Amino acid sequence: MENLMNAKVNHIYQVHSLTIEGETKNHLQAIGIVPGSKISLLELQGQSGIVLMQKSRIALDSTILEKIYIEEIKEKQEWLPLDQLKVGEYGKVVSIHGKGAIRRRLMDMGMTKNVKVYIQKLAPLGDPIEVTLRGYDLSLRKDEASLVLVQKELG
Amino acid sequence: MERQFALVGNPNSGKTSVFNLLTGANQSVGNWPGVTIERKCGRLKEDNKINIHDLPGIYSMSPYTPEEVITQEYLIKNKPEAIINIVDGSHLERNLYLTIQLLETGLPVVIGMNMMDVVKKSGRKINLDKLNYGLGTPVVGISALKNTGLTQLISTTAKEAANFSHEYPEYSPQLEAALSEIIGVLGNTVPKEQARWYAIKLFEKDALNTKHLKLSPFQEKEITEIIKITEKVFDEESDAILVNERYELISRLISLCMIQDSDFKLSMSDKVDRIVTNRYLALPIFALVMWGIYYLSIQTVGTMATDWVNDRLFGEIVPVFVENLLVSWGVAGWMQALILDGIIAGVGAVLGFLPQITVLFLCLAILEDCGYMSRIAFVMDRLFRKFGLSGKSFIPMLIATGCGVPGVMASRTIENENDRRLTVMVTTFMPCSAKLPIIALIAGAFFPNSSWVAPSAYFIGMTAIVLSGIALKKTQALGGKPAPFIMELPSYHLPQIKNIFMQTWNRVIAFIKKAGTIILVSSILIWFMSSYNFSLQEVPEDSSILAALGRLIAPLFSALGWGHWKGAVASITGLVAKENVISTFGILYGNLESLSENGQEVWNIVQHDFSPVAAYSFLAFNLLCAPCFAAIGAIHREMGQVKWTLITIGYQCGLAYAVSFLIYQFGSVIFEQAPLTFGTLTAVVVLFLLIYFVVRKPSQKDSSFNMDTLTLIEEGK
Repeated sequence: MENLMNAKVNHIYQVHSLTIEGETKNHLQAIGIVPGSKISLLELQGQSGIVLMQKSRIALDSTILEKIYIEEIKEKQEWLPLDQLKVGEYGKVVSIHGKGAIRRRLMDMGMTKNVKVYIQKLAPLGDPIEVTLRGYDLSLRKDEASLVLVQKELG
Repeated sequence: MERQFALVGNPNSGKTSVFNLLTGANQSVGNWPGVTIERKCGRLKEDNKINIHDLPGIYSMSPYTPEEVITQEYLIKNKPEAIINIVDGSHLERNLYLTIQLLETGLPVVIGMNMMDVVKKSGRKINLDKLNYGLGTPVVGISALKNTGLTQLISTTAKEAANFSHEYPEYSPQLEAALSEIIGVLGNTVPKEQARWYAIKLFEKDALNTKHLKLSPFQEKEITEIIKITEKVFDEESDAILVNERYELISRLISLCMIQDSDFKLSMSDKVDRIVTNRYLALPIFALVMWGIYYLSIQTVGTMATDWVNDRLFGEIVPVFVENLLVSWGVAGWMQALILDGIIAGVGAVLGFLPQITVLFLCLAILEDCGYMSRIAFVMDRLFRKFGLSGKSFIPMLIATGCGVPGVMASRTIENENDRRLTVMVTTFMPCSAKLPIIALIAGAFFPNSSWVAPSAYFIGMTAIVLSGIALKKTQALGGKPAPFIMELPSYHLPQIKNIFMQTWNRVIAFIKKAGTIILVSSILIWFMSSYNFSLQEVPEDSSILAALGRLIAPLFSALGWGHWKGAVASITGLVAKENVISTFGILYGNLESLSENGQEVWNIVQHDFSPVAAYSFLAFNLLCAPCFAAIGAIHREMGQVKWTLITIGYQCGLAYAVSFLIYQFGSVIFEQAPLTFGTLTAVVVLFLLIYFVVRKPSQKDSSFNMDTLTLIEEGK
């Protein structure tokens, strides 16, 4: 079975089991890493990777990543950060990560759970992006868009 | 008794137009204390006992941006009698989010529903009565474009303020339960009519608005407990619960009051945007617009009028007229000189910039009003963010190649305060047209056969801007967290003449008041210092107070290669206007009253005092150091604080000194076979220091958790 260290980036898996015991396991469970929960590896840089869960986004290092075993999810479903949605695609917001001012600003501008977003266009230099939601156009940088987890939708 | 109404709304909701229509010319524009955000207040045209306060355009009332903080503080502390909330009907969903928060304050709110014509065109219908019923607060249909409904808006507001019954938007039972528990715990700690507002602020853990409440440890514990339980129930964090609840309430309201045609129509604005921010066309269109602004304000209309004011009006007509008058009255010679060379020249310096500034402000107002300004940020953000500036910083830089004064003033349009300050600090590094004669003199006298001097001046300017941006962004005061770039791209609409003229007029007046005073006073001061000696006798410039000062500080510049006092004096007179550097050279070196543009007459004599490397260091210093007084006045106007003005001037002079020092020390070793000295060593140290400030790492942000630090997750997630 695979562990998170050799997971495909941006692919949604389901946590199968944790081979950690004791206090560390409790902490992981507290942030939602439990068998059956959905999890996705956002990027891997050297010995640490950024992991996305429904409720949080956190960086973990290899000592932990390799102890989290994962399995493929049966039903076809794709979660990805908003900045990786392509122009012309729709998505439904799953959750907002980040903290403080940025998180609040995103929510205030209407990026809330279950809201439908449409990627309108990319700026000529490739960043920021323009999305349509709640009947208006919002522009945000890819950095900030990466804090929004969406589920790809059709039309 | 005077009555106070507050005007609140989203940016681009038509709030400013409404304000202009309500108050006409009876407005005053200033700054909110401590920040560079415009504060507008005016009296109602029909009834001058009613004051309208135009609060900054905001999307929500979070405690993060200065605009939002100002609005909340004003509403909660000053308690205006009523809030007039301008709502853009064509973006009802997002606009109502602010409305809901305004209703939470417990103040009377009246909604002015604007842009109903756009709503109709897009095939939708809003039933205002139903919305009124759903919100529990009056809704008046208005059109800022056609000037309709405003009388009714004001009369409704007056009525609502008189007999107001506290009605609040109602959320889900679970959240309401939590809020009423918190209200119970608060008891008499807060005024009764603000209890709900404070309960909400406590619930969303808004520290800014609740820190002044003196809660007992018991109350704090109870409230934390309530929030914890509610977070469990909703399985969300408390601030997210509130945002979700507000938007859910809005969805219910929308389905109650809005009828939508089934077919979706592409609006005119969308069609325009398809072209304007198109992948391939956006940059050419941007370049064209920028060229247009530059052409109008710097190359043609603006400069022609400015030249006329400077050369003709204040160069000949007014001085000649006044001189004749003074002579015929038999006024004493020194008094004549004061009036003619001091005051009139100073006033001329202020007014000389007006045509240019007016044309520039007109262009900017048009861009802002039609909606293109936010597209500029969208198109240019990627490039400018790299060195810590906003996409909108492009306009100030471009304008500054013509003149630094309107350049600095153009930074007005940047929303984020840190970005704006940073832009103001670096804009004048761009060689402006008044610095061109200095470049011409140095190039002509020392490097006659090379074509690289002028381009290198621009290169130095731009490098200084880019590297300063990167380095300053890493400082505590200007850096911190990068400002989130999450903003609306408003729909395009035709600019409204009245708004544009109001905007331009207000900004021009503000320039005269704030910048004008500094320019006038300092011009008179420099005039006085350059024409008198310490025993107050009228003397030629080379024995004046200024020359004495120049001799005093000249040793400072010997490390830059030009310790001769003439260079120091010329640099000081450059503070009045940069082209003065050349005319001062004329006076000091050749006793020449007037020089040609590039100072050809003194090339030979100047060469005796400067080596080529020293001359280039002199050029670099004058390019980068404190700009002329007019620009300093503009900087002061934009920064709004003496502290920041001084920081800016200090930074510019410091950087100028460091750069010229490096140029001279390394240049003389490399090109003029000077021996390695202590100065060279210092230069190496300075160079490494500068490099360090540019490349150093800002504070670490995203560290990963390992087995040992995993416990930190829960506290600091």
